[in-house]
This record gives sequence, C-alpha cells and structure tokens, in this order.
Amino acid sequence: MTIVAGTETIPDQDNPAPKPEAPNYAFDPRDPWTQTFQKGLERAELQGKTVYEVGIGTGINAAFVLRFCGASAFYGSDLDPRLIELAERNLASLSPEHAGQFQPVKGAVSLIDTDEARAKIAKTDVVIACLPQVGDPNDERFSAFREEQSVSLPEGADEQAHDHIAHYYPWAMFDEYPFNAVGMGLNEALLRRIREHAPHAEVVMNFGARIGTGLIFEMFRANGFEPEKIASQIVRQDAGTDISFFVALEGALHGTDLEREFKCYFFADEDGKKRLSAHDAQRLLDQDPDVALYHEVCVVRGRPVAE
Amino acid sequence: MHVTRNLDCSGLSNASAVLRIKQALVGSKDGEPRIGVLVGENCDVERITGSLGSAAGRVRLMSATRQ
Ligand SMILES: C[S@@+](CC[C@H](N)C(=O)[O-])C[C@H]1O[C@@H](n2cnc3c(N)ncnc32)[C@H](O)[C@@H]1O
Repeated sequence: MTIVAGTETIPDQDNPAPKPEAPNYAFDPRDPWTQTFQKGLERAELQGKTVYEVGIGTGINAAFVLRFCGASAFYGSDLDPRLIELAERNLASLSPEHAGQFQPVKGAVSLIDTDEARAKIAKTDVVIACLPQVGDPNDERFSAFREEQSVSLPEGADEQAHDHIAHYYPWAMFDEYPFNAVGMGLNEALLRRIREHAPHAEVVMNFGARIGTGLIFEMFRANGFEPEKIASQIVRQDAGTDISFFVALEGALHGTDLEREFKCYFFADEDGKKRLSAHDAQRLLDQDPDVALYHEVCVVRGRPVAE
Repeated sequence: MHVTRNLDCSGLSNASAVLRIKQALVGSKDGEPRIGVLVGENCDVERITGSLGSAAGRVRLMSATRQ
C-alpha cells in the first residue's frame, strides 16, 4: 500500500485523491526508494507509537504512517528548511484528519542537532530516516581519495541538482564516525545521537545496500542496535547519482589480501541475480551512460541492545 | 617517531578498517608523525598491516583488546 500517486486508493472521478506537492528541491515521493521504505514502515508495528522522521522530505511518510500505520503522533525535521513547511502543507492536503497529530520542528535541522529536536526525540518511540549514503562528489577530501585511486568523476557528476542534499552528504564533516569510510557517516552519527538522547527508541532506516547489508548490519551492532531487515526491493540505480565513491572504495583494496572481502553489490538485472561490482557497473556506464543498473534498497529495523 | 593523530576504527571489519586508514593517509608523506589507529578486537592486525603495504609505516595499530 502506498499513498503516492493514487496507486492504492481508487479516486472517484469527481473527487480525485490529492497528490503530494513535489517541487524539484524535494526527494521525489514516487521514487521506488520511498515505496520500499513504506513497505518496511507497514511492517514496523507503529500502531499507537510516537514516530520522528529525520529528513522528512515531502512529508509523504508522515501522511502514510499516520494514515495507514496507526501512529499516534509524528514529529519531523529536515536540513532543508523549506521541506518541513512543504511536509506540513502535504499532510494538510493528503490526510487533513491527521494534521493535528503532526508536530514539525521548523528551521534547518541537521540530524537532531537543536534543543527542540532533542526534546522531541526524547519522547519518541521509533525514529525513522532515509539519509544520504554517498559522499558529496565535490567534497575536497573525498576528491583527493578518489584521485589517489585513479577514479575519475564522470562528466556532470559535480553539478548540483536541486535536491543535491537528498542524495549526498558532506563527507569530511562526518569523519569522526568509523563507518564514514563506507559512506555511512551521516547514518552512524544519527544512531549515536539516538543512543544518547533516546536510549529506548527503535530505529527504522532505509538504505541503498550497494555496500552490502552485512556492512550495514555491522554498523548497527557497533552502535548498540540489533538489526533486522524488514523490507527489500531491487531498484534501478538512479541515473543522476554518481557511483565513483563505490568504485574508489573497491580500488583502494585492489591487489591487497582483503580485496575479496569488500565488493559492492550492483546488479545487471532487476531480479538481482547477475551481480556486478562497482567496477563492473562503472565500466558498463562508461560504455553506455543510459545502461540499466540495479541495486537493493532495504529497510532495517534496529532495536536498542541493553548496555 | 611520535603519534599526533588518532583514528577510531572500532566496530569496523578488516577491509573497512583498511579503507578508513587509507582515506586518513591521503596526502600524508613518509616522515610525518604516525597516526595512532584503534581497531576492534575482531580485527586481524597482521592482515591489516599486510594490506597497507608501504603505508603501514605511517600508522601505529592498537587493538581494542590490548588496551
Ligand atoms: C533521500 S531523501 C528522503 C526523504 C524522505 N525521508 C523520503 O523517504 O521520501 C533524504 C532527506 O534527508 C534530508 N537530509 C540530508 N542531510 C540531512 C541532515 N544532515 N539532517 C537532516 N536531514 C538531512 C534531505 O534534505 C532529504 O529530505
């Protein structure tokens, strides 16, 4: 069941179902990542729970969780201050009867780094998020690393789309977190903050599993959460998202004893049967920039482990 | 040679720890102070050292168990 574009609700001719407002600075709510995320949210047992979405985007998940998952209250915030306003408008049009259960944290909020966000997280049962997992191609330190691996940036990859921060994060800024090495610094930073400010809260997070779910699980365990995959789907690699980050990671282990222990998970087919490394995927892209490449998107629930 | 910087690799597997160390060493040169690297207790320090090749001399690996 998805709330997007009337795929589940059958609109009556005179009164078509409202569609979310989705300007170009917001993550497209029709994206298959969102479909997968909502499958996971449906299975996350959110009935009666207070939910906080970090990086709320268009607010499509707020409407979904309040309407179809039975959550009792929904908090949300985003680094882009326009998005929380947009989310409020979308919830009012998509699910007006639930608008009173939504409490936005306004302004530009990175992760939960304001007093108001921290106060709300402390009252939250389940934190949900789908945050960028690829270092910004323009990040200076990442560029230096990529160049050392002789991986070049594909043409146009340094141009910033309107929703740039939905896809990339400032890599060097999150370097204190060990899993930043594989593009998970922003997500690990969130897990640490949740452990600190809401030690009993569960998390439900959506990931592109291009580095493999094994590594994602390792990050959860290293930060005190027991992970469980609750939804998964093979999706097409977004044509606009640069994969040189993954190619550089593989390149850095090339020729070492550990080379076989880190290979990315791309696929040549939509069933996810023909596996490709990031290297193979980049080679195909170099031959044909429109080639269809796939990867898994999965939703992971993390339950806090008692210390 | 003294250590000036520390790098936390706890929780990372051997391969991810090598990636993190190589990223931290980008732009560094022989003769600069070594980076102190803390690796998790499940890591194999010898394999990590082997995979770092000549760059191994620029770090000092410490295993969490031996602290
Ligand atoms: C991939 S989009 C997902 C949007 C929405 N959660 C969804 O599933 O449709 C990532 C969102 O995270 C936001 N974001 C990026 N970096 C952030 C940060 N440091 N703190 C909070 N939000 C961030 C982006 O603005 C964007 O709205």
